[in-house]
Amino acid sequence: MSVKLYHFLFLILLVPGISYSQGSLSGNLQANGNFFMRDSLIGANNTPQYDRQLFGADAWLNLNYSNWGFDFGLRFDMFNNSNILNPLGSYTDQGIGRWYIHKKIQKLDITGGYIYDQIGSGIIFRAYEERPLLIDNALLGLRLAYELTPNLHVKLFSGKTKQQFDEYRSITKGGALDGFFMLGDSLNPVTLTPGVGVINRTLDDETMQTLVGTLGTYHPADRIPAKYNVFAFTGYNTLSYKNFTWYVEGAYKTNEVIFDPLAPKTNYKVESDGSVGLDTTLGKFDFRDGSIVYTTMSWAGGGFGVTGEFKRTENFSLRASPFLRTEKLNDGLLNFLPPLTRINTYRLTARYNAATQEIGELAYQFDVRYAPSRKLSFNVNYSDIKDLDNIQLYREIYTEVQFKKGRTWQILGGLQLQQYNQERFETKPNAPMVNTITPYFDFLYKIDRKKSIRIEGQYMNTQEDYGGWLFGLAEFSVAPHWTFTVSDMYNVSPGKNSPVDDSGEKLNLHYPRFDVFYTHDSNRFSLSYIKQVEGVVCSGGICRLEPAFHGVRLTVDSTF
Amino acid sequence: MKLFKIKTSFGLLATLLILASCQENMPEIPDLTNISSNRKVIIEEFTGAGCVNCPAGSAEIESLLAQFPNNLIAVSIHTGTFARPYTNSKYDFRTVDGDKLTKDFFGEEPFSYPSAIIDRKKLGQGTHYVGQTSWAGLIVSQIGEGASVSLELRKSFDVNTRNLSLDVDILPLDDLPSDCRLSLLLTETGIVDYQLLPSPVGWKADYNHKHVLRDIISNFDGDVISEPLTSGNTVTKKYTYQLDEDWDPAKCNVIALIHRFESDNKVVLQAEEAHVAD
Repeated sequence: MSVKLYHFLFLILLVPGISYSQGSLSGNLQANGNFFMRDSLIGANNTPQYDRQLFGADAWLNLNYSNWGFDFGLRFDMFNNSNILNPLGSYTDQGIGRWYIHKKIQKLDITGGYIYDQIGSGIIFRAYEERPLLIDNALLGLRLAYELTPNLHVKLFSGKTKQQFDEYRSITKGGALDGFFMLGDSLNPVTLTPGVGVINRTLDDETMQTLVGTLGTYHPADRIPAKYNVFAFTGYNTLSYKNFTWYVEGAYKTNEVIFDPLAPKTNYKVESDGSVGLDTTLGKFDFRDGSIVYTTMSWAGGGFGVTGEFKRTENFSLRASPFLRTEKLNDGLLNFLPPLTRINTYRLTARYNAATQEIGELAYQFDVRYAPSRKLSFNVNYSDIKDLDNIQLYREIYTEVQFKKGRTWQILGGLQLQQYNQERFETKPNAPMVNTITPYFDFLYKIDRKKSIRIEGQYMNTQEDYGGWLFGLAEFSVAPHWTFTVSDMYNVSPGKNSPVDDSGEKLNLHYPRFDVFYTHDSNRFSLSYIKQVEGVVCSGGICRLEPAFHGVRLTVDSTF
Repeated sequence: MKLFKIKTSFGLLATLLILASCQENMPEIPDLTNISSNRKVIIEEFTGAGCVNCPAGSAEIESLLAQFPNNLIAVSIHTGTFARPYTNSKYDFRTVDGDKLTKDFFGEEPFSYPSAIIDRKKLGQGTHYVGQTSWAGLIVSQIGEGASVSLELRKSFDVNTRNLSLDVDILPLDDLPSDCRLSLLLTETGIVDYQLLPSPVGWKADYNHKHVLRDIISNFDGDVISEPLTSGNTVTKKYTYQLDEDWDPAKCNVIALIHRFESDNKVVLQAEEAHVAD
């Protein structure tokens, strides 16, 4: 960003203080500091932070200002020896992570700068931020929206996808037409919110030069063409009638070069006699079109709530560049594929997560809730994911029973059964399907109006990966300021991948954690000692393998 | 209603115009079978015995070496978490110089493995490292740039003392900047040891490791060339080096690189390779 723009934005923020105008300024801060303590036994080592840097931090300071009918935003991002971008590396940079100017002129809505937006459920386009994984796919460009009629809105946008403090070179533009209609009886109407959308991504010449150079080295059997432009189209609708809601979306993208990590590639090789032979490995570019069908239905009534979801994905990789699929798995995403698994929150029930598969996935999920009274409720969830060759990737059965005894105490418990294809999700060779059985409970007791204690426990039974785990947590809260938590994750029956001692004996390791949270008005502080086993961390179906962590973490969150 | 029809018509017209402009002239995929250039490009691959995706990267390099035998030189640097030897490994391929090259020369570790650096060129997004799918295209692009300097390696190897004597002739074809440095790398190929491969293989005991970096004969960040590098004037640098007892001289290669040495530019201008013992 140019120096002039910095001056312009700072002036905008300083002017109200000088002229005493009636603008409103708001914002928030999120800051994290990690003190790294090497523990080679659990694999918390061999990164710059454990080796020599010892400390890493990341922070986001966001300011929003509204005046004269305009909205302005500015966000300062800072990364000092941070491992948030690459869990195995160190990232240092700082600067303006986001700015925007917004103005509404009658029916025309104008936004310039870094834009967060989506079309439909995000299947063909979603510019969003997911800080735990440092995904920030804001579009740096211009967005125009216009109200054609009160029930019909159109929007158009064009820009470049953000990459930390830079942008990818390709251009993404698109638009959507969204409507809202009511049919039938005015007391119990059928409402429809249909929409259509399109996006187009155009590669830059430098990327295309590298791409055609790459394809030029392919064996004739694998040789494919390349295109600068890819188009993706979508149509979607939400139908609501009384307690019934049905969302359906279908999307198609035109042919483009995408990377399939499981497609066989023919390579040349020099034989021992000097002749040139052939070899085969997995993973190559292919020229394919793609499609998605996604639908979700829900109904609620009489204490029941039922939800069913289905999704079929085929070759729906949409990125700022085709090379990104192999370099940084979660970078340069132009879209978002909704996950069809339950979002689990307990430490052990959330240990194995299914990342959405953009090359091929057939997934469905059912969720049934029943609450016969205010005291008692039941929940059963079933999800199943296969690839398009019918190979099982993930399956989960989750049951939950909750009982509330007035305002004094409540208990929640249940059982989770999982099948997790570790070989596919984590590319671990010959890793067997991880089968888990995990009973769990969560007990909350309110001592008085201010004090409460919460105890949770889980036991994961599995023969695979790290073997069985036991997890316990106790949390003591003194409202409205303090919360103290102590927990331990114990590798009760170590498995194949558990750490070993010098003699090769599997170790029963403890992974303790202590947290103190302090909240004062809109400020929240936390100080934690953490010893954490490696695992897959997911956010909305986007996942990455996180190495083990050992150290102290300090966080500050504030809104103003 | 009339206004709505006008707006709808305008929208449909705009959509038709956009769709009509969807046709593009598709780029031609080049025929690289007869590529001719005086440039020798170096690919420095960052790999490890425990990196399951790295054998596919190595196969990619072998495929490119088969296609560009006169224009490509490869080095495999075993570094980072995945380079830790397997329990039953015979060798530890990690080297002090390899780690220094990664952390101190390039200033960062690869984001993922396998990664490679092509001619030590920093790319638009501010990093030297590129993923496997980009290697071929960037190598083709570098070969196409031609060379501004010629390198010649003259060597002799004494099998008894294991002493290697090297004369490196640097012949600039253009005037070169004064920050240019000379680096000399030693690699060994055809070492059989464990390597993790994708399913269904897993740990493979007899994997053939190629182009393994054994040592950097010069300083890890290159040796300063004090003589001016002017067009047409040959500068010769002399080195002697004793080969480790465990390395097979028949499988060892020495690689010379002449490269820039600015804080933000360490691009290789030319590379040359020779067998230690013929």
